[in-house]
Amino acid sequence: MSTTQQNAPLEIASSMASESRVSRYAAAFAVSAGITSVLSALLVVLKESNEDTVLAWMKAATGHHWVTHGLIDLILFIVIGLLVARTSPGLENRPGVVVGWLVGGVAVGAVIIAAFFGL
Amino acid sequence: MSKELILMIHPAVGVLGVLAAVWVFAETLNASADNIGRIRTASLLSAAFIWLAYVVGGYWYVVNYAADKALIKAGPWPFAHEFFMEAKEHVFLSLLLVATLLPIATFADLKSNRPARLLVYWSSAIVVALGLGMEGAGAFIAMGAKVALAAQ
Repeated sequence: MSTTQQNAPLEIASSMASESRVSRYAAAFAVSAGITSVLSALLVVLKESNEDTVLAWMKAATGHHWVTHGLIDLILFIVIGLLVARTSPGLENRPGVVVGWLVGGVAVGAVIIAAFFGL
Repeated sequence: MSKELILMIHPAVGVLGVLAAVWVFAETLNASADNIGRIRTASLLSAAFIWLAYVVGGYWYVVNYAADKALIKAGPWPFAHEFFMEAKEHVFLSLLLVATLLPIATFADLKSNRPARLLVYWSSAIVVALGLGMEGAGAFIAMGAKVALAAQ
């Protein structure tokens, strides 16, 4: 049996492994979306509970607190996504964990916001 | 352009973003070499429409909403602002992030990669769910302004 033939099963297994996982950046930014959603909801509570300090600063920064809030969220999303991509190399092999962070984070963030304004 | 027209563009492009996410979800159920291009195009369209809804709606909210806010809060449906608008303007930011994630998730070998498809299913489903929630909240806000005007 030639070397090529001997390596064939390994190459197929390696190929299958790479095809059965989420890409590194998709996984990292999915986790980032979940984490940022929760942090964004906590920022809502923080700014609405501290109108003279946090909310006033957010208004002064861009002219409107919501514009500042959106910018903070986008910066957090990018920074956390890049950090997760660099520091969690095995994440792409755990799609359930990735989806859990995404769905759980968005749901928890929405519930915090709805509860804060609804209760 | 009148401010009323700007306001109508916001839910119109928002619903187009939702429809494109439904398109992504449905095509991904039958992902193949034949439709991978359509999946990626639809995911990019969904993200672009949601971003357009954010920019247009955000412009209107920052520049024009103050008068409506005062009207709604003085009317019979103050909760249209105090709950629905406050929740909508902040939950929308999560929708924006997930809509941005969607095209990133579709640029994988979806035909043979089940975990990648799983992420596309959930990302597109979240865009649809939150997008419909935004449309519903918008209806409450519009009705809050309408009943406030009717009560005058």
